[in-house]
Amino acid sequence: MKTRSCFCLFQPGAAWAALAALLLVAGVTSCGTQAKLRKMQKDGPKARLELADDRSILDEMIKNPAVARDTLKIKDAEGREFLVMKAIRDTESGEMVAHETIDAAVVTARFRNVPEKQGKVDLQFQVLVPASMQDSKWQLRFYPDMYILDDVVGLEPVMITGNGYRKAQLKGYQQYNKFVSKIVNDTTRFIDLRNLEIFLKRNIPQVYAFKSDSSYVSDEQFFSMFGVSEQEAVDHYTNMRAKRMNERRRSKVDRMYAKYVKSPIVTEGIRLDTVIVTRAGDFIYNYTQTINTRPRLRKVDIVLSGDIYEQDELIYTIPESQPLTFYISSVSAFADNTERYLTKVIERRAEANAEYNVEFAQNRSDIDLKLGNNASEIAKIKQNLSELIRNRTFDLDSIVVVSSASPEGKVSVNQKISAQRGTSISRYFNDYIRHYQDSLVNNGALEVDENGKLSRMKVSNVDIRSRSNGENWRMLDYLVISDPNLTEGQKSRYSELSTVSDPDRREGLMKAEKSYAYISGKLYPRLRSTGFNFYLHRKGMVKDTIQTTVIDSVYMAGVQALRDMDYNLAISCLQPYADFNTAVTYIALNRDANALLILEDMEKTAKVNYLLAIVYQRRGDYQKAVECYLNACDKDSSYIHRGKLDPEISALIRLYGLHQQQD
Amino acid sequence: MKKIMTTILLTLALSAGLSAQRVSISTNFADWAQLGTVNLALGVGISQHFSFQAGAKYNPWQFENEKQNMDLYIKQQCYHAGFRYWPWYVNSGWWLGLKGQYRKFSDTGIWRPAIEKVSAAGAGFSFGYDIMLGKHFDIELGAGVWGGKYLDYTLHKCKDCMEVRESGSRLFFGADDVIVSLVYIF
Repeated sequence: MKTRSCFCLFQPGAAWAALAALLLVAGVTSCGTQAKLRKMQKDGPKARLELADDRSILDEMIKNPAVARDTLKIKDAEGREFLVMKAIRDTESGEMVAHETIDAAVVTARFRNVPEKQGKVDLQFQVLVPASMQDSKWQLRFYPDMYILDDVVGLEPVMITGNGYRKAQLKGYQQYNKFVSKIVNDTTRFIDLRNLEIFLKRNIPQVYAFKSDSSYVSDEQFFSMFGVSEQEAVDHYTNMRAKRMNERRRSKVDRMYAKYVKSPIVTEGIRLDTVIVTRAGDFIYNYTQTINTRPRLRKVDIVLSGDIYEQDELIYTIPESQPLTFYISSVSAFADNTERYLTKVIERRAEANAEYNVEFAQNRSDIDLKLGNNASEIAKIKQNLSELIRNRTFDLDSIVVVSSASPEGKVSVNQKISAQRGTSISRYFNDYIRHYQDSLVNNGALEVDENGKLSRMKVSNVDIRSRSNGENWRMLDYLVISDPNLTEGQKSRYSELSTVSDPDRREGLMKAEKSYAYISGKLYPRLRSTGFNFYLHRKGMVKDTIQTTVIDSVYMAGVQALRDMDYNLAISCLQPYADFNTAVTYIALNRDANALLILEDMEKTAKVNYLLAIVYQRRGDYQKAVECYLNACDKDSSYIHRGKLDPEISALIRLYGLHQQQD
Repeated sequence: MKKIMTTILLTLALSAGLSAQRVSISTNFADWAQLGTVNLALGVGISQHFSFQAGAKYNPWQFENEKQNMDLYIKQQCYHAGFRYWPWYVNSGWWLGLKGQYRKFSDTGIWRPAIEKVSAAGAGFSFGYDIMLGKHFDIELGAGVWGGKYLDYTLHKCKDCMEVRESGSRLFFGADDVIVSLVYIF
């Protein structure tokens, strides 16, 4: 029995397994990076997101030479003056001392307020990669993810490539390019053209004859005298083997790409791919992303995750970092949501007309009840008047009495008579109206006023005026034309005569006509009428326009667009109204001059003051801006906190150290 | 001999008539180098792969050589006819040939004084390659071996002496010739 004693370093089985495992890991990661990985796994990754100090507006303000940074004279709502300056408490004396520098803020918060501008928000944060995570052989890929409402949006990744990694990538490309360069694209390279040509010339000469004779096109195949075709000749003189090899190479291109270029250099769809040549310390990248806001979007969370690659193999997944939160604030939050109704212009005035025939004796202007139909006519007039006085919808403003006369006699006389008659009528009915109204009031008449309440009837002064129409020729013309009893001839004669300019002469000529008797008898009385024009207004109306209960949909659409941050639509709807919401829209659109015009004329509530502060700050008038802001805070202390959300106000707060005691 | 001559002439006549076929003539510079052997060969392509070859060589020259006190000559008459197989096409590329040959020569030895007189007939096998120079010209390179029977063989020891070293008839096999020819194809 032989016993073998050997000094075996490696026991079979387990040792081999260990070796294999070691080789496996070592095959991918080398010794140096393994230690690094282990340390990272133990300590946890240190790549994270940070917020930078946002000094953009502040720096702009400081550049402005008009800024007197130390003190501002402010007048408050009661008119008292006081000074505002940036001050700190001196530790020795305990007093507040002016402090001129503006410290760089150390940002440790994990959230920031960002203002929305023109429907977009700028998110700015820093991606911080410590030196301990970087290695020449590694490529770090960082994926910032954005959580918006219910969506997760992947932002463009940031890649940090180690120098060694990049060199390996390039080498892969080199090898691939070498392979590709071996592929011949010119197929004639494989054909022995010289010999082929000689052969063809010798044995298939028709080919050459055909080729040089361009007047004759044919697909004919040519053969040598022994039946060898041109194609056979070409095939014979082609280096088939080389050709096949080339074809094979060509078909392997894609596979070769995958084999050599294990980790392609990505240029599309990533934010940054930087190669770290020297280990210079922590790597900080300022990442800016502009997103469109949506309605109801109040905050955005950003989280960083990443991977570490070595030789294009994932060796470590960096777990998610702590999130950064951006709270979106918008000027559109100031929109006033009260409903606005359409206004309607209602005719205040109404008119009513009536015509009555009150007869007068010739050349007399007094009212004689016993004359003709006067009794009934006057009764009718009285009834009409009383109805109008009692009317619930309308109030009588005034009455104009128009009296006219028939053409008999001279024009001047008729004019005077008709004026007198008008005056007497108006006087008569004025008395009547007064008496009637008094009786109503005395008897406790009630009426319903504009608010729907029953109240005692109010007596308003009714104005009766008279106007004289003189000889009413126009009515006569009308009556003649429409009278069925006159013949055509008579009518045409009448029209002829009516062209005579002097009415007296006209009348004289008409008297000569046969129709005169009829006209004067039947038609003239109708000319001696009195027209009553009643001017009324709707009861209870003091103004001409009233609010309806119909909602002004254009205005409300504008307000909705403003809340949805669709500012262009909002301004197109709201511009004609020129009210508070219009001003808010102008501010959101950076049209500060327009906003100022509207806001300056408005009553200075806290809201209006606050918006004015923003507008003044943008225009560079910092003194007024601080004044308005402080006044707004006095009226409504919630604006102290709102001020931090708007960058214009927060810059003022920082520059002048406002509200430091409250912090 | 006469028979062979007539065969060759017939072939020539035939080939002249076969103008549609590929006819070529060639002359071998290697033979010319053998003290100016006049040679001519005729080839006729009869199909894509086969051609008929026939040729003749003639060297009557004699050169004086004072040192050895012996003339230098390779006098010969040679007639051959055969077929060639061309794997690709007649008159281009490789070829293998088979021929029958009758040769009568007498030469002086170059290395030692001797005079050889041979008349032999046999068959030979050769192969070679044609390089195409142009439409009508080829360069032909080849080599061949042949074997057969010495019909009459005499080896004299010296020029004038009649002492015979060897004689008789026997079979032989050996190198035939080296071909470095210029071919003209009609």
